[in-house]
Amino acid sequence: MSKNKKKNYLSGSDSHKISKENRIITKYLEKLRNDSKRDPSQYITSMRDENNIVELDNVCTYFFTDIGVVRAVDGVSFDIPKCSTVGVVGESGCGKSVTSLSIMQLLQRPTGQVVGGEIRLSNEDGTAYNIVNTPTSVMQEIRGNKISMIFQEPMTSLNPVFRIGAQINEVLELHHSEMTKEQIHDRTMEMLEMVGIANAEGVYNMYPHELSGGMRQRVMIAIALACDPKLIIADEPTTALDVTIQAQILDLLRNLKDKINSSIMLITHDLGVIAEMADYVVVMYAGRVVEKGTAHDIFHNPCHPYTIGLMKSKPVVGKQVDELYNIPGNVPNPVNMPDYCYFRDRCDLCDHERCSGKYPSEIRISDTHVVSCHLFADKGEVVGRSQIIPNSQLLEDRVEYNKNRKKKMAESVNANGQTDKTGAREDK
Amino acid sequence: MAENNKTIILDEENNTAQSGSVPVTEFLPDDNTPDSEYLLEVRNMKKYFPIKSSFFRRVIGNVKAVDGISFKIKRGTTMGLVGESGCGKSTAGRTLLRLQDITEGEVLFNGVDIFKLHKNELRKLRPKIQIIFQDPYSSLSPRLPVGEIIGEAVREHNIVPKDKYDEYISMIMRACGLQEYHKDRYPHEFSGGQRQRICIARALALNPDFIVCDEPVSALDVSIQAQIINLLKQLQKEFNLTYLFISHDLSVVEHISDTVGVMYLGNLVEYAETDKIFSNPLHPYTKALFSAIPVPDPDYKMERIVLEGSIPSPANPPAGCKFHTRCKECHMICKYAVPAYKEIEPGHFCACHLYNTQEENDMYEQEIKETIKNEEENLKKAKKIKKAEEAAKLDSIDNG
Ligand SMILES: Nc1ncnc2c1ncn2[C@@H]1O[C@H](COP(=O)(O)OP(=O)(O)OP(=O)(O)O)[C@@H](O)[C@H]1O
Ligand SMILES: Nc1ncnc2c1ncn2[C@@H]1O[C@H](COP(=O)(O)OP(=O)(O)O)[C@@H](O)[C@H]1O
Ligand code: SF4
Ligand code: SF4
Ligand SMILES: [Mg+2]
Ligand SMILES: [Mg+2]
Repeated sequence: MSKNKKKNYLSGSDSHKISKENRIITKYLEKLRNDSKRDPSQYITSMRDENNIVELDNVCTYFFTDIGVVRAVDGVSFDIPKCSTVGVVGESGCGKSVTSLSIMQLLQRPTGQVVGGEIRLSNEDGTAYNIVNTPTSVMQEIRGNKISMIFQEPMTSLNPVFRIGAQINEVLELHHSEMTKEQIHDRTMEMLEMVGIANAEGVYNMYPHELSGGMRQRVMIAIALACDPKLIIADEPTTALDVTIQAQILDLLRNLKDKINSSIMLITHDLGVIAEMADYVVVMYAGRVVEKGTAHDIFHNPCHPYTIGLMKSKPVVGKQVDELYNIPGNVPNPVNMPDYCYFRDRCDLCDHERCSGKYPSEIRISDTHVVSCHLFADKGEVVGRSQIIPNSQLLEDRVEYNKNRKKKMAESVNANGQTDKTGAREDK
Repeated sequence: MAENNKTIILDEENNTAQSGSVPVTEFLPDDNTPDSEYLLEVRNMKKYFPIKSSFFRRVIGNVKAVDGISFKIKRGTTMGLVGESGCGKSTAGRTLLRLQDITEGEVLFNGVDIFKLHKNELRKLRPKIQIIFQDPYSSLSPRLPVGEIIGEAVREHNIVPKDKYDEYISMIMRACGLQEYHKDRYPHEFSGGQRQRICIARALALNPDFIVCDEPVSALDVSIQAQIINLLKQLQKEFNLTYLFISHDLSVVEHISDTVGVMYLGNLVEYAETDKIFSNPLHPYTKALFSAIPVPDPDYKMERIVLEGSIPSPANPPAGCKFHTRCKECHMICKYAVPAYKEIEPGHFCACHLYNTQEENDMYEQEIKETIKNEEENLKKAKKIKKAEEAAKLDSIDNG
């Protein structure tokens, strides 16, 4: 990112203009989001398929920065079926973490905003939340109760000045106000034992710095599981750990998933970890899904040139090669994406005639396997094109909204004979 | 909005190194190194860090970070060093370059003990032995342009004559896949992969014979990892370099190394040629470590040996075999006797009681029996003395 900043030569007035536009847009989006009295009909929908716990549909998450709009996630769609593990892979900066933060509504605001698409979270009674429109107050209930997250660096997500026990208790208290002190203590102990901490009573009274990296990650998992979430998002849960400890944690996650029957969204750049854990795999490149399918599809029949390159560039034990493949070039500038295939400038298999056209649509080449590449244009049915939102439209939305608001205000003035302040609150 | 950004992208990150255009040796005075097969030999190297009491700063114990390791590296080959975090890999790497003092042992570079050299001699040797660190972000000075970072030490050590200096730096940069115009840029303008290239160029510019690579790719992305690994391999061929490659990523180690040493809690527990150790690991720890490698194939079902717990503290390692607290094959002698590090097959070293001969086992058992017997006797004696003392006390009370 910083590299792009350096190479973007923006004049002062350009930059000023950008930040002004950003402020207009983010202010509008923030207002929508903070509106706690929003009518539930605006964020309650239903799932496309009841067997999924989460469905992402054309999600666009942008960062409105001073150098321009960073399209970190741009039209991402995939499903997380119940009781299964979905692995998300891709180079650093391709939008894996931003996707997960969008699901959690934990984006750095106001710069980071979900500007389009739907994220549906099943309520398991036929209804679903559309997280994109869910107001912050409702979202707080969902976080922890239905979805919880495990981060890469466990030290930064544990509070260094509180004992481990107190930190798990706190989470339980927050979500289960009906439980007594003893019940909470017992449950905490149970959680610690469940994640394989042998000396649970001792660890209960320890501070985070007294634990090793692997133990801390176990505690984080205990916290994440404390409220029986239906989805656990694990963002690079083992990247900071050793191979042996990594093996322990992966083992733990796999066993737990069956025990509490929830789904896992596993983010990592290690293909080995994905192969071992995931039922479904989503490959991301420059903010978009380039290929998705079952683990079998992706590992035995990788189709997108980027997936193939990724597989070839990792050394595999027992497979001798003289030189590792490396994908030439680098990721396009996220502020100024081309309108042709984002991978074109690095692609070995590029077909110059076809690939100079529009960004390729998603093509279903088997029941489970979807790839977004022109080479497969005639190998299956087109299931969709990620709908990206042109920057100009973001502003238009806002103009539209302003018009509506003015109209409304005028109406309410007419109706009540006075300016009703709440009338300024947008409903549409 | 995007249209308003005048985005000017000036360069591509990836310039695969253009090899062999100008051989380095053209610029360099001939040096006639003694031609033995092994460039580096480490004999029983130990490095302890004292633990000081908080009150009187008195030494109350030692962290045995490296506790007696020995190995040799052949000229032009790579030795991989693997093990869990905290087992002493980096300490070993730093010590054998004399970046810190040694507690005991010898390090022979070209047959000369590095730790016996005087300051001047060491200064002359420095350029020959280099290190590349894990973190390409903090190991470059932010205030110097890249050309200076690479060239500073070249001038200091007079590696090339003055009139060849500029040309030489450009040549090194090209060999490492950097462009000439990068010379005037500052480190923060580069990506992680490029910074690691700068670190490599800085080491390479001194025309070293030996480079310690301490986790050079751990902080990088998969696709950039591949670039750096390829670069290291290609430079090795070109300049006949010898590497000690420290990493906890076993698939990378397997790819790049000719021989592999496995460390546990300050000791080498196994050492062999890469093929041998990967196809036939002997030590239970090596087996567990290798079984933990994730394989990128969803159908591959492996028998994983999951090691319980974490590595014990090197300040207070377990008695006997240091691995016995986590070993599934641990038996009686393991808890008392330290296994010898010995050659089990030609070129395959291992320290584990499972590979003892019958006589050795008998010998260990005999020893242990004796120590246990001695201990028991001592206990008995102590008890007797105690009894006698108590009796004496009672007597004195009676008498009094
Ligand atoms: N300067 C020091 N003072 C005291 N103890 C030290 C010092 N440097 C290292 N140690 C200790 O020595 C042991 C070995 O450390 P070392 O850095 O060599 O581990 P490593 O194998 O390189 O681990 P990693 O994979 O995490 O890099 C550790 O227990 C560490 O805490
Ligand atoms: N707070 C932020 N402000 C601006 N840009 C951001 C921010 N967080 C992430 N981005 C950008 O979004 C893109 C995707 O980032 P991320 O999802 O973190 O990648 P990864 O796939 O490595 O998890 C990157 O280009 C990154 O620079
Ligand atoms: S669409 Fe063309 S350029 Fe893009 S990945 Fe496929 S083959 Fe390569
Ligand atoms: S010596 Fe004993 S405890 Fe140590 S590794 Fe061998 S079998 Fe295991
Ligand atoms: Mg991330
Ligand atoms: Mg280290």
